[in-house]
Amino acid sequence: MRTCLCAVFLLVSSAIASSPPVTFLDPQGIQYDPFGTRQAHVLVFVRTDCPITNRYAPELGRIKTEFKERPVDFWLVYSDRSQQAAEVLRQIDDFHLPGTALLDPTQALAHLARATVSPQAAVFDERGRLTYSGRIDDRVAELGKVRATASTHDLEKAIADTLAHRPVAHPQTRAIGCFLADVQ
Amino acid sequence: MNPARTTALLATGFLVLRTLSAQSAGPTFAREIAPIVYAKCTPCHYSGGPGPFPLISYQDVRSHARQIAAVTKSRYMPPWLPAEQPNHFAGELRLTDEQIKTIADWVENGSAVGILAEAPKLPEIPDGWRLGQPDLIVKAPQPFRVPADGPDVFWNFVLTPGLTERHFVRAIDIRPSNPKIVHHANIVLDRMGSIETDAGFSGMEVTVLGSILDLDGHFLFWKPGTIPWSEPDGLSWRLDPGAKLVLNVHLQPSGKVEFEQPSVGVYFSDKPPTRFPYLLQLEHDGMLDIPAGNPDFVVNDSLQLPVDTEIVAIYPHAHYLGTLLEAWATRPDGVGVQLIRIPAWDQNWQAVYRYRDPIRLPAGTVVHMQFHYDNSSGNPHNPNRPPKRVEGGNQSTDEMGHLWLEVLPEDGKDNRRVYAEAWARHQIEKYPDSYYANVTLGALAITRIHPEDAVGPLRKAVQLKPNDPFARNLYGVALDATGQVTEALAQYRLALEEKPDYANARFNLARALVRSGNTAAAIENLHAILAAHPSDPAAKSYLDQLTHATN
Repeated sequence: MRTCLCAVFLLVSSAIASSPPVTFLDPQGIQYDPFGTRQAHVLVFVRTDCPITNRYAPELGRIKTEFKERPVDFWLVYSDRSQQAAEVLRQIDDFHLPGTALLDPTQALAHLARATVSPQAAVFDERGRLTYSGRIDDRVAELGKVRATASTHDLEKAIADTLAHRPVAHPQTRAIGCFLADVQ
Repeated sequence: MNPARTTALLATGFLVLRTLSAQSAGPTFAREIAPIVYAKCTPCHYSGGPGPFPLISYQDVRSHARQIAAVTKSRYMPPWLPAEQPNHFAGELRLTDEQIKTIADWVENGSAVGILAEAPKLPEIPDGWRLGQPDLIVKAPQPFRVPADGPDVFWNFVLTPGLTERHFVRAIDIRPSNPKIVHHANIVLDRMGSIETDAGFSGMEVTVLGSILDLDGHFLFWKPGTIPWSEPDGLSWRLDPGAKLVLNVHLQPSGKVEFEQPSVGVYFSDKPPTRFPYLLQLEHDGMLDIPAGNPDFVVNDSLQLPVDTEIVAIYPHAHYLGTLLEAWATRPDGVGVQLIRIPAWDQNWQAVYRYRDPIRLPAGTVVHMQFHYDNSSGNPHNPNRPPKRVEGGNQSTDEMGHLWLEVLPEDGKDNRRVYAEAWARHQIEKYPDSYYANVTLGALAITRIHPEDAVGPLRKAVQLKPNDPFARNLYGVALDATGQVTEALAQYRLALEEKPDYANARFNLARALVRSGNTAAAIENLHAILAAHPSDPAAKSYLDQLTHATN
């Protein structure tokens, strides 16, 4: 599944919205298909300059560990054309953000996942169908209003439901964070 | 032309004009946005600054444009809690409704750059100490580790300036080693070195021991992005050898383990103080017992100003449940003066607010505070999920409702004790069993040479804290001065039972012994003081006096 296509850039049109089998590059130019053979695919949309995203790094790490024995893959999606690879790698290294980074310069993945902010999570099932899009949990009530603890762990539950082939109870929740529309 | 046709033409013309005007006069970064951003955002948002990303270039601002429109609309940014009021504060960060609309219009219309040459000059980006090179720099002895995740952290760094002589201070600045995680800091002056550890300690609140008769009344508050306050001549404060500075710092986890080791820059003044501010406190933590789920619990307090007063600055303080925080004054002529109104309290952005011009209020004015608390699950700041009963207290899990005023008497005299007495009397009205208020009132009565007024409060204080040598000693002084020598002797002895090396109590005992005719025992006690403190000048001189008299 790992093929080095260092000089290849794949353009993704919005026409693929219903069928996502495409490949994306990581910051080092390695090509990945985020909708590969696993039973669930978790995409977390992130910006390098978003403090809310960074504060979620430990929780994302916890969720990934929770599912480490399960057929789930985790992707960190950077939907910013101007994103520098070095900044992406530095953020992942500094904050131990879990998952493989993917560059989404055309925001195709963001459209597919209906992601509008960073951090926002999306879960796709084994057939590439979007089962969940929204917040990681309910800690952030508004920008600047962060609860001490979360009472609903939406992403974790959505992954578990998707793996169990159950419908996700709340397939769409409101994520609060830094706008992806601001990046180009 | 028939009337209907005329109207239609006019309407069309109006539409065309509007379109043209939107094209030619829509907000641009250079003309409308940069002046707002440079004044209100860039002071924190620069590379290496406290803000999470720089907001300097067009590209910087463009890549956060929608975010800026959203956070200014909600008034989360720039962080400024007080509502607009006639008595303005210095350094107001509040945006006007018009400025917020301009930002929204700019984003809505495509975030045009405009002609960059028209943009105002970039503000000066802080580089180093903001008031120039300090006279003294003290660094926290060790770094503090902030965990990657979890609730906000309140850590107290203990700094020892290590002075060899007395200095007067006009300003203090703080340089965090890691500006992005430091929200704000309160600096507490520990004149008596009562904080014994240098290793620092956790806690949202700091209590230091201070002499009731030597209270420092300056707010020493620091927040990022603001040029530190520098006191004018005559309003410096004293920093003695042995004094410590406690930095009560609010730190926010960032998502990774971080370290903070702040430095403090101290700016000396060559002029000693001639005016002495006092920190006047209103509070009613005793009322704070908020049932779980109560969305609007109200606490209030009011205090009468004993002298003509200037209010220089104000510091409202609550923990997580505070919502609407208000303070106002009612002058003796019935006129009301708004002091502050914070419609949506957020303790993350708490600050000392300094008035642009001090508010002058005559003696007899009553200052009021009224704080509201929301202990329901609808309050996102509620630390308890589900909500639980919360009472008043110093821990971050407790709630608080304090309003501090930095006040100066208009007559220019040192009226700190007058304010302290007004405060203590008011405390006793609220809490008759307050040890601290009773001791304060007793000590103040002794200094006013009205020991008869001291006896009652100090008797109460020793009843409240029977093992406290300080209150016993003061009570002894009051009894002694009102002719009750035998009772005084008993109090000094009780104080010394608790604290045998308490030189003041032993000295007072010696004097009372002389008055009761037992000079030999007095001499014995003075020798005991000198054995422990050979250079104690008062004991030495009194011993000389007694031995000469007996020879």
